[in-house]
This record gives sequence, structure tokens and C-alpha cells, in this order.
Amino acid sequence: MKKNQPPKWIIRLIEWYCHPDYAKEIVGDLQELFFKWKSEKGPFRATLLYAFNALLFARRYNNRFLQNSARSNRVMMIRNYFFVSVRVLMKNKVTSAINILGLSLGLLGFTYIAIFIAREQSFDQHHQDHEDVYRLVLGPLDQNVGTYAITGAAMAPSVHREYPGIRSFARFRRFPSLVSIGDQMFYENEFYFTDSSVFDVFTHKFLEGNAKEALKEPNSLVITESSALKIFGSSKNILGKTLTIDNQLNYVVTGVIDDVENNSHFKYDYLASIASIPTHHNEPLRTYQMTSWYAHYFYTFFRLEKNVDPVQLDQQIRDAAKYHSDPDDYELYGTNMGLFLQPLAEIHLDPLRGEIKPQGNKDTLSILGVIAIVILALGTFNYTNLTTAQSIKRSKEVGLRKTLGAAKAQLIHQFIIESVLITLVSLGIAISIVQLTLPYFNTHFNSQLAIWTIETLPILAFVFVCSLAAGLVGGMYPAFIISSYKPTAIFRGIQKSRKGISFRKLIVLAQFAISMILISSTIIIYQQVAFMKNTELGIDTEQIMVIPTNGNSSIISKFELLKDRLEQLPEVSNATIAELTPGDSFGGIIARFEGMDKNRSFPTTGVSFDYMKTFGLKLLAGRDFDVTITSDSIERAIINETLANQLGWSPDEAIGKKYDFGGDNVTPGRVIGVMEDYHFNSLKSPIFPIVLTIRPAFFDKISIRLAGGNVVDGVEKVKEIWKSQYPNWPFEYYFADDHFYKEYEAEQKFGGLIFSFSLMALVIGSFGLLGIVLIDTRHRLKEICIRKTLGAGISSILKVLSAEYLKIIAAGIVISIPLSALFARNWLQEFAYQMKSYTWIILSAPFIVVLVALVTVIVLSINASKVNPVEILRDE
Amino acid sequence: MKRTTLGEFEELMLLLVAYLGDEAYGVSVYKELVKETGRALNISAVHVALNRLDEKGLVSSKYGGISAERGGRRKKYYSLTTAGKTILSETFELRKRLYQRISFS
Repeated sequence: MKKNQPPKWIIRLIEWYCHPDYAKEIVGDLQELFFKWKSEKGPFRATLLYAFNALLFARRYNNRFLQNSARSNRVMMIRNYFFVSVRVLMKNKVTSAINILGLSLGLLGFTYIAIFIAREQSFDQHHQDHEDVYRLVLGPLDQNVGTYAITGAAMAPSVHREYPGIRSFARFRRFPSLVSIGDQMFYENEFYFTDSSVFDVFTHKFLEGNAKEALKEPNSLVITESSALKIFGSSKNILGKTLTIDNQLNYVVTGVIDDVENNSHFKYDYLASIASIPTHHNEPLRTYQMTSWYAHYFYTFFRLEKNVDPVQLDQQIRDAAKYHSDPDDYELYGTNMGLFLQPLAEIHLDPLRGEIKPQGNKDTLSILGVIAIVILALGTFNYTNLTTAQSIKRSKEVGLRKTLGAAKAQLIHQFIIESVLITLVSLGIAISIVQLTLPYFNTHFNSQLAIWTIETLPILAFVFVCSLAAGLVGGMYPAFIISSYKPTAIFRGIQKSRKGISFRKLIVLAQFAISMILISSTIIIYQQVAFMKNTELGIDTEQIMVIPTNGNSSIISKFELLKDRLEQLPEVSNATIAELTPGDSFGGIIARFEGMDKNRSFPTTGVSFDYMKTFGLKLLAGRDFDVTITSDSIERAIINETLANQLGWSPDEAIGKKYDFGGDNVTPGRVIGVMEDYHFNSLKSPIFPIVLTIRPAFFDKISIRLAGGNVVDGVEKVKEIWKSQYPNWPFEYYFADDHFYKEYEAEQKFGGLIFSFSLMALVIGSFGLLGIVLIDTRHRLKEICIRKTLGAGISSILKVLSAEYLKIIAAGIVISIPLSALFARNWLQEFAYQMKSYTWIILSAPFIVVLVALVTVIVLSINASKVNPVEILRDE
Repeated sequence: MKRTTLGEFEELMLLLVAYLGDEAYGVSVYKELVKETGRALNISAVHVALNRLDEKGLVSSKYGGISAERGGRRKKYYSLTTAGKTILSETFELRKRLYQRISFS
């Protein structure tokens, strides 16, 4: 008859939560009903009803934990602690506000950093089985570490063929292209050629089309949803439509995919099939870039089979170049071309040379992580400090509680509950502020942080736990101090327990030292950026417009005409076309100079005539390329001073030395000029050897130097000429200096972040000081008044009051200076060129903090010293 | 003394407890209530109401006999207290008085 009984566990549940007075009645009644239901509705529904009704019985009146009887004393006490906490908060409005504001600020910084770090660590993990996806990268064999992100197109297929364990691969060749339909045209920078197996490597949802087939055929194109919306105004029914590429190719849309997630290390809007390359208009692309093991233009990703050990595979492919490439070439580059596998998820925080776009930085994250903890600790210390300082005020309450039988543990509970309460209120405020300021933060730092998403839930939980922990830790010390007071001592009036003072001093000291360190770090970062921006580069980037041609021969072939027309304008002084503009990264080209017994790779860039003039480069010896000397186009080189020195020549000696482009002994030329050194890239890297040579095959970017005066007019005029000469090509340009300064974006952002946090730390520190001085002067009011009655003036009282704090501040300076210097040295190490002297910054930055502190102390002390002694001393 | 007021549901409860007399306990009140009013109610609502009436001193309770179908648990019987009877008749008087003043033409 067991089946006839209602479920046992429900009965037990009821008996557990119900007060025994009620449980019997409830279980009895329910059981009676159970039989009624069973006969009416069957056993299953009866059980359901039984369980449902059992739940409904969970009410306050019969809950044995909330019962209003002797047993729930604990609950009552917790309620009481809560009310007392609220009352104390309300009573001391100023200190509560300081506490809550300080903690809120601390938690604000902490929350921001937590979501920032979590976001940075989330990159590229949205792909299915992302842990099986690796990027193929290059590195020197002897260093045993991948250093270069860009690989050759020939590598992936042969590695895939020869080594088991690779499920599929995807090569990406970025090729900015002009996409047009009808009279609409867009320069699309995120245009890539890729393999048809790309969707096995990177997970995408197909809104239209089929992942397996989409990129099989030549001239097929998969576009993202937002590109579809941009071009067609809709993401539906566009399969089979034709888009014109670079005004001469017709690609058919074969798929529409969801947009690339923002937390991806690179983004593509258009994916064209790699099978389209053989008919592409760009010759280098369809020839050696596709076939040579040693031409590096592609990003390569592998998805490994599930059971493959990536470490082992990484070892196996290491020297693949030896077996799969031309032996002569291997001889030349082999040791620099080790193959390495880099896990997809690590790319963003462990970027290599040649990344598509700027990535994150592990060091920045660790610095921010430390700051997060420090800032939270500052806020928490404030609380600890103020509460301890105020403890004397509450000693009577403690005495009374103790006399009435409160155990020490209970008092500790009470104070900890109080601090946790304050922490939670602060957390609420902090989260609200994050919510409100996030849009500004995102615009300013060009980030896409979000707070209420599924991904951030664990972070929020983490922040919550951390703030609870902070509340516990912050409340612990005062709780122990306060609860250790002896009632007899308290009521007798012996309460000048100066215990805790040294601890409090220590906290204020720590706060100031940290503020000082952060502020001098901020100044150092800003100064270094300013130094790099203000340093003469040796190459002139101002007032130079750059118009990319993206390798379109129909633009390049008519450049001479454009140049002639432009240079007739009074607004234009020079125009040139070249492979690179300042800030771009150099590629190496094999060459042999006179006296070398072996070919070597030299950073080389293809330029045209007037390149030096346009960019204001200065000659040390020899001459510039001359359009009237026909031989100047045949393997003639202008080198920089660094290269001349490396080759052991003085500038004058270098002129006329043999130069063989490609090292192939075909039409070898000569060095015709030596330039002064200049910074082509940011001051993070040292000046490297540079070879300029005239190479029409490399022509890519048109640079136009505007003559001083009105830039806006100049741009307008250039646009008119462009439009009349290239009606089918959009007029898109950027300024060379903007482009160059992008190299400093990361430092500027970092500086901005550190600046925000040092402000926070300073404010928290000042709040802390404010609170402490406030309480301290209150305690010392009688002393002040006695001094006044005995004839002390305001200035001497000021001296007495602030002496203690001056000592703390001085100690803060002493501590902060070496630590700031340590930061400065380490941080500046990654720059090849550092600002001259930062000693003055480190020595003077603390005084900003000192100023704030002094103002706080002095204002409060003056206030205190103004009191009328009669009022205070009346009852003595 | 503060006058105790009765809610509609409480009034029903009192009436049912009075009507059921010696047989007034949770389930019987519940069954009767469902039968008479046809309302969809939960047994817990009845318990809450009876408890509140007990707190207000309008009903009193005592444990009664054991029955097998309750798994050996005793019933808790409710009966009206004097205060309960008074308030019930006061409420009834008030209703009657007001009702008689209405002229349904």
C-alpha cells in the first residue's frame, strides 16, 4: 500500500520548515485531501496537487525559523543589528557619506577593471571548439617562439597534406577593395580572400546560403549581415546578386553570415573565395603571393582533429620549410621561418608582429588588475579607518550591550553586518554609476564593454563576492577593536584607548603613497607620449594627404597625369606614389650590396620620384631619384645612414656602390644617395636600415603634400581633380600624421585609464583623510579649547593639529618616490626612445597630492580652531 | 479597546466553523467552503485564515482524535469563542439593519 501514501520527502520537508505546533495539522489535512484528490483525479495529479499545496504552506506564520518565540532570538538580533546599523548610518551622516562614497569609488574602479579584464580575456572564444583552432605563425628556429603573424599562402596546403591531425585550414588575405552595385560604391577595408573551409574553422550562422558550398566556386562572395544591409538595404533574398569589385570583377553573393563578434581579434565584412585569386587583376596577388613559401601575405588558421596533441604537432611542423620549399631559399631564410602554432584564444593578449589590428596587452591587464585590487583596498581601508576612529563614540553602546549579556562574537557579528551593509549599498551605487557611464567610457576608449550580459554575469558575481569580502575584511578590524572594550572601563570614562592609531596612520600613509605613485605614473605616461609626438621624426608627416589605391592598376597607371595636374595647383606642393606611408610596417626584400658574399633581407620600400621631396627627407650624400635619368628606375637605391654604417661605409663612400635587388644578378644597379636617418615608425622601435628603390609594381598609396595655408581648400581642389580623372573611384583619404599617431593610441588609452584611476585613488585618499581629520579634531576639541583659553593663536593650533599629518604625508613621499621610479624605468623600457629626464616628474608629482592633503587638513583645522571655548568647556 | 473588524473571508470562516460545530477542522472547513462558494481555493488559505482568527481570539483550537486516513495525525478542531460569537452576530445585525433600509422598488 505504499503507493497510496503521499511522497515521504514532502512530508519531511513540511516537518522541517514548519513549526511543530503546525506541522501535524498541516500534514494531516493535506493527507486527507490527498486521498480525496486521488479518488477524484488519479494518483499522479494528486501527488502534484499535494506537492503544490505543500509549497503554498510555506508561510511566515508557521515557519519555525521566523517564529516569534524564544528560539528565534538570533533572527531578532540580526534584525536589531540591521536597524542599529541603519540608525548609526543616519546619525553620522558625514562619515557615512564619506564611507559610502569612498567604497563606491573603490568598487566603481574595481568593477570597471573587472569587466574590462574579463572582456579582454574573452576574445575569439565564441567559435565552436575554439580550443582546437590554432594560428600558424613564423619565428626564428633558434628562439623557439613564434614572432610573426603573417604566413605564406603555400604553407597551409602543404602542411595540411603532409602532417596528420589537421582537420581543416583557413587562409585569409586582406585585400581592401572597392565594392559597387549600380551607382553605389564603397571602399571596403575588411575584404578578405579565404578558403572554402573557413566556416569549419570559424563558426558562423548562415542567414542565407550554405557553409559547405558558399566559397567553393571562383568569384563567389560571402558577406556579413551588416554589409548586406548597407549595400542591399536588406539581408534577405540577395543570394545570386552580383557585386562589382574594383570596377572590373564581378562576384556573386553566395552567402550571408552573421557579423563577426566584436571580441574577435580581427573582423571581416566580405569573404571572397580563394579560388577567385587566379583571375584577380592584381598581379603580385595572383602570382608569387599565392605560390611562394617566402612571400608572406596571409593569415593561416588550422582546426585540429579532436585527438591531436597540439604540442606534438607544433614540434613536427617546426622545420617544414626544409622539406617543402626551394632548398636555395631555405638556405637563405630557413632559420627564420620556423612554423609555430598559436592558440586562437591567445592571439588577442599575446599579439605578434604583423597583427591585422592593434590587440590587447597582457602587461596592461596585469597593471590594471593590481590597480583594481589597490583601489578596492583603498576604499575598504577608508571604511576600516573611519570606523575604528569612530569606535570611541560607540563605546557606550558596546558597553551597554556587553552589560546586558552580549557575547563578544555577537558584537563582532553586529559590526561586520554593518560593514557588509555599507558595502552592499556602495556596490549598488557603483554598479549604477558603471551603468550610467559605460556609454561614455566605450566611446572614449573605443571599447565595447557591457555590464548586463550573460558573459558578464560571472564577473558581476565575482565583483559581488569581492565586495562582500571587502566588507568582511573592512569590518573585521574595527569589530575586534570595539568589541574588546571593557564595559567597566567604558563607563568609568577611561576611554582614551589610543590603540589603533598607528594602524590608522599606516592606512593613511598607504593611501597617500599609492595616490602619489599613480599620479606620477600618469604624468610619466603622458609625458612620454608627448615626447614621442613632439620629437622631430626626420620625416615630415604634416599636411600630407594619403589616398590609398589598394593596388588598383587602373588608378596607378594614370598617376603621372594626376601628379602633373595636382602640382599645377598652388595648394599642392608635391605628389608621389609609394608602397608605404609613415607608420606602415616594412617588408624585407632580398638584396646584395657590394662586398657582401651572401644575399640578405633588407627593409625595402618601393617609391616613385619626388618621394623624398614630398616627405621632406634630407640627403647626406649623392642625389635624389631623377625622373629625367631613365636608369634611375632600374635597381637604383637610396639608403639611410644606419644602413650605410651597417655596411661599413661613410655616406660619401656609399655612393656608387653596387646594389642588386633580389640578389639575382639581373640588372644590378647602384646606390645613388644616402639619407639622414628618420623615424618611419613610432619611437617605440629604434631606427632600422632602409632601402628606397623605384618599383612601380609596389605602388599603392598616393601622398600629396599640401602647400601651407588653407588645408580645407587644398583638399577640395584635390577632390575636384580626382573626380574628373577617376569618376569611378571614390575620393577617400587620410592624413599621414593622423595615421602615424595611431601608433601611440594604445599608450594614450593606457594613460587615460591610469589617469582615471589615479584621480579615483586621490579622491578616495582625500575622503579618508577628511574623515580622519574630522573625527580627530572632534576628539581633540577640548584640547584645542584649553589651548585657546591659555592663549594659543590659530596658527599655533594649526601647527599642533596638522603636525601629525604632515609627518604621514612626508613619509608617503619618501615611500612613493622609489616605487614611482621603478614603474617609470620598467614601463619606459619598451620604448626605444625615452624622454630625457623623468626625475623631476617623480620628485614633483607627489606635491599635487600634498597640496590636496594640506588643503583638507588646514581647512578642517581652521574650522576646529575657531570654536568658542566656552561652548565646549562649559560642562567641565 | 480597539474594535476587531472582520474581513469577508474571515466572516465566512467564522460562519463555517460555527455551522460545522464539533466537526470543524481544516479539511472539513475547506470542503464546505469550496462546496458552498464554488471558489477555487487552496487549503493553505484556510489555514492562514483560521490561524489569524485564532490570533485575534475569535476561534479557539484543540487537538482531537486520530484517524487512519490522516496517517495517524490528529485533527485540530476549531470552535467559536465568545468574542467570535459576538462579532459574528454584530456583523450580521449590521448587515440586516442596513439591508432592511433598502427599498427595492
